[in-house]
Order: sequence, then structure tokens, then C-alpha cells
Amino acid sequence: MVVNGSDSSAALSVDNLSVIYSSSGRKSHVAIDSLSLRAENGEFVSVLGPSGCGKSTLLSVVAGLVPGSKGTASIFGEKVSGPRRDVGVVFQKATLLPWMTVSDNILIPVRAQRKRVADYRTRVQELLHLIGLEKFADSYPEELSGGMQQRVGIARALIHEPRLLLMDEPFAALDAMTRENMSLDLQHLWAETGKSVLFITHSIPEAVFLSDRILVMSPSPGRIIHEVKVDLPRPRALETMASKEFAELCGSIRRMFADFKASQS
Amino acid sequence: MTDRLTSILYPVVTFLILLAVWTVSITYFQVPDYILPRPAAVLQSLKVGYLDGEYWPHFLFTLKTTVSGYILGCFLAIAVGAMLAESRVFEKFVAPYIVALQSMPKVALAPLIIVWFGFGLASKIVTVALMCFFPLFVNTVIGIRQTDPALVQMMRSFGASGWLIFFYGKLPAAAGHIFAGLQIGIVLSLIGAIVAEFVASDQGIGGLIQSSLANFDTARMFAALFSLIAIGLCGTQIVQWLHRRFVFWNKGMAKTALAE
Repeated sequence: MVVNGSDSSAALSVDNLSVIYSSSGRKSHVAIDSLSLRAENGEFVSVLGPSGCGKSTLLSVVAGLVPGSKGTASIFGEKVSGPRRDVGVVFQKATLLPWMTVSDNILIPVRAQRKRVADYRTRVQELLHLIGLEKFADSYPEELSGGMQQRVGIARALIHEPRLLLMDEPFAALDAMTRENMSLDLQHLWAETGKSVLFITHSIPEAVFLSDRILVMSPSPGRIIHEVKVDLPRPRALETMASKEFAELCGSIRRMFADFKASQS
Repeated sequence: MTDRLTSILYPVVTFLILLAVWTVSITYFQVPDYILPRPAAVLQSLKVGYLDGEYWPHFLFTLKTTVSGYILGCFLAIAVGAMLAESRVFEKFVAPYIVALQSMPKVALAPLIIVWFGFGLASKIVTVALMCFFPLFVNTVIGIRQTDPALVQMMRSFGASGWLIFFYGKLPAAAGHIFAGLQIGIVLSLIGAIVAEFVASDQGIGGLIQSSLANFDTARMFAALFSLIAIGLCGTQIVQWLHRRFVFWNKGMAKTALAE
């Protein structure tokens, strides 16, 4: 798949990106090897892979937190050279500041980008409503459950109206039941807001449930080995997970990992 | 409720036992007054000192030097600590000297400080500041450095500036450590004040102890010691209260701080 980096219609395009960590005295480690991918505007794309395959590194590069060694990442046609204002990141841990109320945590991007906090008060209310935590505006993070904290993390990533949402295994730290509910909520949120999403995960059902397209990643060095289109009708519900099509998709992806492993040994 | 009651009652019991042992042993072993004064004599001393007012100028002198030096030292410690924690370059320039200074007993500097800053208030304040500087400085550096990198990364990803990350992220994250340093600083600053007064002053509680030595007025020395305890306790209580108030999100901290 050859992708043109200057194509501005893509929400995200990554071209021949390599990330090599070199530390003195040790062999350099290739985290990502000439990886290319593309996400269209409004598309929900998942990067699926086992832990240590470099998928979180990929997200860090796209978020402008880590520079790539070779190749480029572009967001809406512009090369990524640092954190961008039109991007919202959701992390694996909720990473809320324990000394700030839920509202103030959600307002961090607004403060970071030196916008007027007063202009965003109503939007905080809207987001709190969207994530079902209206009553917790003035609570502190420690009073919230893990799932609620992660919801706040998602609201925080949406406050400044980003066009692209980057999600780094956002539900990995949650228990299985909360996880499924969060998937449902996220799908709802995505349908409501129409953001482009790059979703990093190691859960096959989660990727299948949420995505328009899944990029399957292999470890060391990290590269994309397969691309899976998910045509399941939306909105998807818990029943979708019980459907035959869902199971078949999950099964075929599982086989991809198994085949890849067999081909390596 | 019973917990609160016992935590008041039991120390009182200990106090009464100590008082009894003290009084009995003086009469039993016939300890002379200039070795160990009777509790009544100490009480008399305190009465003369604080009710008749003889000690107040000394008390206020020590209080003034301790508080001023403490504030100065703590301010500098947090400022320099923050600079060092945030700048690896600055750290490389000054770190070896700070380690060297830290390994020296600061009280040994007191005479030199008198030479430089004179016999007045200034030299006492500088000694106090120097005493409480180091623990707080070290705690500030450690506190800022142990900020969860995930939080810093999060703020960075939203485009936060270094200043914003510092004031919204790192400084609050270090608050527990900083308060632990403030706590240690209270006692150390009192030591600084007394040593400075020992070296060169007939004022202050240190001066009072010194002058009591001339005529073996141990009752007066005890009265002075109790005055110091009072200042130390009040200071510690104030810092603990502030700690609980400001670091409200970390309830286990107040206790661990003391253990450090």
C-alpha cells in the first residue's frame, strides 16, 4: 500500500515510518519498521497487535510525543512535528490529575492551548452529559471508579474539538464487564461526534466491534501484516458480538496471528 | 471517640508519672538544685518569664529569627530545588557543590556567618535559612522528579507548555515531599536559631540558656527548653494542618512524611 503523505483528504497518513531506539552499549531496537497506514476522515481505524509490537510507539509518533527515525506521519496533510491542537489523545491509564476536579481535568487541553476557560464551561457540561457523569463535575478523580475515570479521560480528549482522536488501549486497564460497556459508549460517542479515530488495542473482539477497518500488526519489528475491513452494520450492539459474522471475523484474525507465528518459526 | 479520649489521656498519664519520678528522685537522691531543679522551681521560672514578662523579648527574638529564616530558607530551597529538578544543565553545574555542602554539618558555619553578617538579626536568619534549606531542597528535587511520567506525557500531548506542566502537574505532585521537607525544617531551623544565639548573642532563648549557665540557673534552662518545645510543636502543627489542607488528595501522606 503506497500512501501519498501530501494527500490532505486523509485524517492520518503514515508513510514508511521507522522508529529505532538506540541506546549506547546495546544493540539498537527496531520498534517500528517502514510502516505505512492511512485513516480517512471520519473513519474508525484500529491497530491490533500483541503487546510489544510497537503499536503504542506508533501512537506516540502520531501524537507528536516521539520523533520517528525515518519516514513521516501526517495529520490532515500536515507533517507531525510535535503535539497538535486538532488531536485528542486518550491514554491507557486515565492519567487524571488527582488535585483537580473532574471539570478542571477535562479543561486541561483548553488551558494547555491558552484558550479562555470561560468559553468552554458549557462544553464541559455537554461532555459530562455525554459520558453520563453530570453529577461528578466537582468530584475528585479518587471518588470515581476506573471506568468513570477513563470516561473523563475521553471527555478531556474531546473538549478542544479535535478532528482526530488517538486512543492508546484506553480500556486495557478496566475489568471485562466495564470494558464491553465502554466499547458501546465509545461507539455511541463516535457516531455522535464523527471524529476520525485511531484506536490501539490488543483485544480482537474490541477491534472488530468498534472499527471500520483493522490493521493487524506483527511484533519485532513492528509492521502491518494484514488489513481487515469490518462490514458489520452499525450501530452495533452486544448482540452483534454473539453473531456468526462477528465470530468469523474474530476467528480469521486469530488465524492471521497463528499463521504469522508459524511462518516465523 | 474513645480513641480520641485515650490519645489525650494516656500522654497525660505519662506526664504525671515522669513528674512524680522527677520529684521523688530529687528528694530521694538529694539532687542539688543546680543539677536538677524541682518542678516547682521550673514553674516559678516560667511564671517570672512569661507572666512577669522577663522572657518575652527573648522568646520573640528567637521566634522572629526562626520564622524569618525558615521562610527565607524554604523559599530558596523550593526555588533552587525546582530549578535543579527541571534543568539537567543547571544540575551538572551545581550538583557536586550541593552534595559537598550537604555533607558538612551546617552548624559549623555559624561562626563564619557571624563574621560575614554581624552580631545582629541577619546572621541568625542566615543560619536558620541554611539549616532548613537542604532537606527541603532535596525533597523538592525528589518530589518533582518522581512525578508520574504518564501525567507529564498526557499534558505534553495536549500542547501544554513547560510552565503549565510544572505548576499544574509537577509542583502538586511534589507537594507531599515538599511538606515532608517543611516539617523537618521546623526542628532544624530551631537548632539553627539556638546555635546562632549560642555563638553570638545575649538575646533570644539561646542567649537565655547561655546566661543561665553563668549562675547554674538550671530552672531557667528548663523553662527555656519548654519554650523551645512550644515553638517547635506549634510550628509542626501549623505545617501539618497546611499539609492536610493543601495535599487533600493524598491522605496517607501526612504520616509517611514524618517517617522519611
